Amino acid sequence: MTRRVAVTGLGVVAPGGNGTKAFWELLTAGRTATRPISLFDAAGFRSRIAAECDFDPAEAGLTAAEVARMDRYVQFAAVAADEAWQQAEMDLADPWRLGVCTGSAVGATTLLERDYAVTSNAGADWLVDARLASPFLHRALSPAALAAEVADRVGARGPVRTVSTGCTAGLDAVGHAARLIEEDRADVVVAGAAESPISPIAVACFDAIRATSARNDDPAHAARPFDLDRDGFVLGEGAAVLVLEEWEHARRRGAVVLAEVAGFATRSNAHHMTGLTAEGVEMAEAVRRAMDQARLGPDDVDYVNAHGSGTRQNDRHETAAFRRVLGARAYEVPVSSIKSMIGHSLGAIGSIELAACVLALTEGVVPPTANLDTPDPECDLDYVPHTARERDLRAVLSVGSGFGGFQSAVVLTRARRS
Amino acid sequence: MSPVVTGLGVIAPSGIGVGDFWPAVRDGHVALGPVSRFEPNPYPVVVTGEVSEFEPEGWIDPRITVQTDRFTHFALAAAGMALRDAELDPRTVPPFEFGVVTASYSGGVEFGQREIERLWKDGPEHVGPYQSIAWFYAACTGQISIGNGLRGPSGVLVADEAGGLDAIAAAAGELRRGAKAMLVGGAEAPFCPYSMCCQLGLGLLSTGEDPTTAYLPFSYRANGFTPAEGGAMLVVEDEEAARARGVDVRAVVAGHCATYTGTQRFDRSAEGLLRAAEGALAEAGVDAADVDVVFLDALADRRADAAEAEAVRRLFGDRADRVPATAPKAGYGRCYSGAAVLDVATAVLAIEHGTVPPTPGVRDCRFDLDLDLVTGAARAADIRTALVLSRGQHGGNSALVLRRPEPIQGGN
Amino acid sequence: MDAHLSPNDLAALISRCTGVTVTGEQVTDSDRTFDDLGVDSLGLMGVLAELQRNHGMSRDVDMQPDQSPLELLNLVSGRA
Repeated sequence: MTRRVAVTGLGVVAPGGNGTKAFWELLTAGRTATRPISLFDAAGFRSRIAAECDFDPAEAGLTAAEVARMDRYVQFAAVAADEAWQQAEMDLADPWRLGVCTGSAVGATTLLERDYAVTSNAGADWLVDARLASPFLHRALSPAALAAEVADRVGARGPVRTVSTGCTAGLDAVGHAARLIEEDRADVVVAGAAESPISPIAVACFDAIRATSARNDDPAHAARPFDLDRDGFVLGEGAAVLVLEEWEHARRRGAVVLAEVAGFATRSNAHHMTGLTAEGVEMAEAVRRAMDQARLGPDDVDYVNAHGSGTRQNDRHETAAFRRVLGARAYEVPVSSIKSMIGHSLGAIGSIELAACVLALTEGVVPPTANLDTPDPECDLDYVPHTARERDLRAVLSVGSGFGGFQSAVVLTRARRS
Repeated sequence: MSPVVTGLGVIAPSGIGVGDFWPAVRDGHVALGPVSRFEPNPYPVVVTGEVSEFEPEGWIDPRITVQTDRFTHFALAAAGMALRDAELDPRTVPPFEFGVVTASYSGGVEFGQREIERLWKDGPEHVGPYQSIAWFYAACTGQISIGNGLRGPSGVLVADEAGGLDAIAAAAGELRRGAKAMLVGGAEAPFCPYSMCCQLGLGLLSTGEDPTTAYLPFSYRANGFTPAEGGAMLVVEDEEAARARGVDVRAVVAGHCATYTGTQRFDRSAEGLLRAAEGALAEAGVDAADVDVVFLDALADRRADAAEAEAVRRLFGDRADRVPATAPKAGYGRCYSGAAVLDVATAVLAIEHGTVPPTPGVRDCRFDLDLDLVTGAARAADIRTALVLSRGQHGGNSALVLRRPEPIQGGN
Repeated sequence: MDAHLSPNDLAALISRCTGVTVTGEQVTDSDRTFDDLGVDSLGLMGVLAELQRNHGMSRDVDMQPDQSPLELLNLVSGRA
């Protein structure tokens, strides 16, 4: 018997406002949260803009001990998990059937860099002075710490792990979590992803490959997916957490089901660590597999949440992929990129985008693509420029693309009675 | 559908390639030694397991060498060996049906320290274009996929040491969903100064100065583990596909289960390991009574060793002191995300050779643990079922069951 | 600008940055692109960054792998 996967809780920490409500208000208003970097002095960097979270961990409910122990990305996840867990109103008999699956691309970069600067005397010493390291530095080496902190909050004793497939980690973590339920390895999995990459080393490494936007004089309009004048992505940060629950488990306890995780697949382009193929064959293949699992065809897809990073290469690549896999439907279905508003938070964004998809399904609203003033002629689909649209949605598709050649797709459907 | 192991690629301080690795492990050779990856060594950990003879030349395309960290060199070289061992040409597998899953722990730390040093010392424009693809945890999966033309499902799991077993289970899951072959494993290269600085905080590393006594799990002198570099990649395939192409089936990946009992709460891990082992055996469709050998996690911490022994005792009951248990990693160290994968490779070799390799160096296994720890010399054993246990630094407990393949029924 | 950068110097710099063995003769062959040599976009960005840091090349210079090392040599040595 197939075990179906329900979404019964949602939590978000994102640029422009914390919590699911503020997040959805920002998206549906089409406002952008991109601005000059304030988290460190970015003078001397090529890209000096980002979408930052206005996040006060104490105000968000974390204790002083938690704040000391957790890197910023873990704090985001903890707060998002609390919101999601609260909404799910879980009453769980067996903690050994409760898992956690989190995603992150670059883990505790912020803490690693801060302690590096301290222990290396600001880069002067190769043989760093370990005596100067923070007592929590060992928790920064591996992003398994992210899953562990969330697990401790919800009391999980089942499978607990982090998925770290670069910029598809946020989709893959939720997809992997769904499989743990489908394969009967857990009944409930707290799934999601977090990232806080706005630190000098991450900004510098995207500078070096000119992947990020240098529209420093106009940050509010810098993230321009599918626009002819786009010049790269704007770095973001944040977290989203979804409580996934086996369908019958949710039904038995009378939980409110927000959506169903109906399909997930990944494929690799085996082409280049950062480059994409012109035709989007592998992304199309991932989408096709995810739709097959969901038993849906192109005409069933009512909304596509695009990767839409705003790099020249990406937006054409995925437009080609959508045309390839959706055929004529690609020209009918609304496609949008919320990265235009909240930036690209690397491993976190996939989960944040899935949170937006859940809200799109429950609220019947398609979030827009901000800043899309002059469409790139090679990007010829309906990208929902500027303004959100009311629309009855039954099935939505979310895709992601990441360094390493990874292509992922998740299909969510509106909750229906079984 | 059964996922089966058809190829092994190992890189460990004990040897590069199964041909060197197995005799060293079987004979209980100790391959630990003083730190040489950086000099001088100002840190209290002075003994490590280094793969001292490994250089990327001859293994890795120079164009890839400049854009990757040593942990990816290990993974790429091990993946190549595993493919050759399995006699599998990826071009013969349907496109989109050959994927890669790796376990990760610390990523490309040495490459990362060089680049972050350039940033802090010289400025942002001194960070090179490869930092974005060399340091991150997904570097090995991406490079293995690209290097071998693998367009199937990909994954990167992080649950520290236990993640190696979780990755193998994830690869088996992809085979059940229709993939025909997967490369799976993990590799670690944790010896740059900053990475060592991070690891010191774990509080679990041995500071012993004598390579022959630094890492003595389950002994009265246990005083921490010795970190190592290296790892392993395996080719796992759908059994039918493997048999159809006439290749030897080395072992069946029969069952897996993972639990969590809290970060750095190794004392609590007995229950977690027990439940993981029970879950893995249940999935494999076998009983604890069927287990012929246990490969232990072996943290060499008094509480952690006691917890692991307790899990084994509770799993086997009266039989606990008669089931051979071993920790060959005491001879070459604990290479984090690669550690459990090396144990799986060793278990496959143990099944094939009918031999349980010893736990090197240990002569005084604690009496209170009631373990049948194989020490001194290898022990002959008819192994049909092997259980591999692993714990992650952040509190995961995983178990994997391997079974000897059934001989092909003589047909007419 | 670095008028003294020779084809051999540039070849050595490309080899060091990209891991691709390149000779001075290949650098002066106008028909040979970076793509032909096996230098990809990331590798080329590393080469440009090195020339900008240590050989006075303008930070505005951009180049694609379908262009040739000779074009780059002419740019950096002020002959373009």
